[in-house]
Amino acid sequence: MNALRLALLACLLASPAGATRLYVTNEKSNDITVIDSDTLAVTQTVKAGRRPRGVGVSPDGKLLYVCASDEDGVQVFDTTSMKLLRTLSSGPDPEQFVMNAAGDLLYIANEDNAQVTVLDVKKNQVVANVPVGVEPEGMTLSPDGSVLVNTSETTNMAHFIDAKTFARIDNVLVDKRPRYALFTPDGSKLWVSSEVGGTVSVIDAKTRQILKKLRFDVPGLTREEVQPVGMRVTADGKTVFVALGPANRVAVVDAETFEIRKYILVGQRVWHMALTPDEKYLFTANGNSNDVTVIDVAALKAIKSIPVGQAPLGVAASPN
Amino acid sequence: MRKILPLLLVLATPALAGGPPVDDDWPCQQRKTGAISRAAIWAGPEVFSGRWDDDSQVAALARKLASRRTPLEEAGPLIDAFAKEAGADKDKRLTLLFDGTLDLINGERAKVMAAITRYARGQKALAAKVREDADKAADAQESQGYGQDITAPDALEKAHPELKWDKRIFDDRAQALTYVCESPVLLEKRAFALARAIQEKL
Repeated sequence: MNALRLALLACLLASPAGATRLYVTNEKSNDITVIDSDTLAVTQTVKAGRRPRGVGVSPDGKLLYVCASDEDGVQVFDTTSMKLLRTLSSGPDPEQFVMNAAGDLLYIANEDNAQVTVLDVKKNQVVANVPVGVEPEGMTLSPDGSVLVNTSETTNMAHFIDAKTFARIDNVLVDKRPRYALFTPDGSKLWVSSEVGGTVSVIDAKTRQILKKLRFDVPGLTREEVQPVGMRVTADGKTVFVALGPANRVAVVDAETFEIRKYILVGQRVWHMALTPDEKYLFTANGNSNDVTVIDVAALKAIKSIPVGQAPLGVAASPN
Repeated sequence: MRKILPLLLVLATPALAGGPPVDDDWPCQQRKTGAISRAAIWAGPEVFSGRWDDDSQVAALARKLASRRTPLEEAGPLIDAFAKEAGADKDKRLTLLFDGTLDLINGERAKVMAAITRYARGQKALAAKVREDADKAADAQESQGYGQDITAPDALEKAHPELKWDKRIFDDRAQALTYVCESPVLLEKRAFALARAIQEKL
């Protein structure tokens, strides 16, 4: 199992073929919309805790984890019955998390107490609380599982943490309000999106030096309207998708040359995204237009809008 | 120098630096943003020559679509009917229809935002008046030696009923503000939904 795929909001889990299910968290209607990737239709809407945000599926596809931010917990659903099994006690205001490859540990960013909580999901026990910067937000794990990265909104840093000892390895200063972090599949680079800074920093994972700072000059838009948030990378590591928030677009970036190949108009206020395991489709959660846009990855075209709940924010794809 | 330069840029052009512009009179939690950019909601053709209000059919439909009295569910069929009869210039006329709709919604949005700012200033003035009147009333009471606890709001309001009214108006307005602040966002959503519906017919 490729740990990288777990690293992306713990969403994108490998093992191709079969109909994929997409799980969308709706922040304001407090529910989860389930979408079938074959029919591109909503199959179910399930009640969740208050303010559901970060979402991810276990490596075996059996469990769905959802941060109920206003209930200070992570809810666990059975993906077959979509019944709530239990609520794990995270720290206050959990927003995003990442899961290890074995699927037994969750690393949760708790926005309110400047800590990352490491949770054993089987025992529902906190293994460690790691102090990080103010308002921790993005969470990711290196593909080999050795390095944990957290971004903090107010400190404007990406914190590199040893995933075994939880000792701080390094801090890298990035642009304002870093929201999301992503390792390339080979683990060599870390991409960090800065929402207010309007940039994406590409960091060398070994030297922790910033290799490249990407700007997104969408013709006709002010810089203020471009706010990079969620990101996704293809399994071959060649393409990165960057959601640009109120620019209502997804940037398609060549991960080798850093050239921006295209801006795809999606729904309004695009937050997070998920690729189906076969990488046929990219789904984007659009917070203001209350829908999910389906992008045909080969054609790089938006092909459908699927209405979901109120204020969709997170989206995760099942691995099978 | 490498550190100084960005700092100077920040000082000179706050908007470009990416931070939200500060506006003391803007009372909403939602960020105050400028007009809705054409490019933010439209991936169709660039601007055509000619004005949208030169085409009376386009202008009439743009007004109808932009108006909040027209439910969004009715917009789709209206646009559909227009597209079917738009003739050879269909893409051009649909683009003009979008431009007209956006112009009108942006106009309305600017008005709403100006009203919110006025409203907030009114609230500030009212708050100052309530504070001042309460101070005066308290001073008067004290000088008359009532010997009661003048910090108790009840005692003050009993002696000066107008204070109670001002406070009530202030509280009501503060509550209404939550809804009022949603208006610009609702208009943005409307513009986006209409742009998408028009784009589908290109």
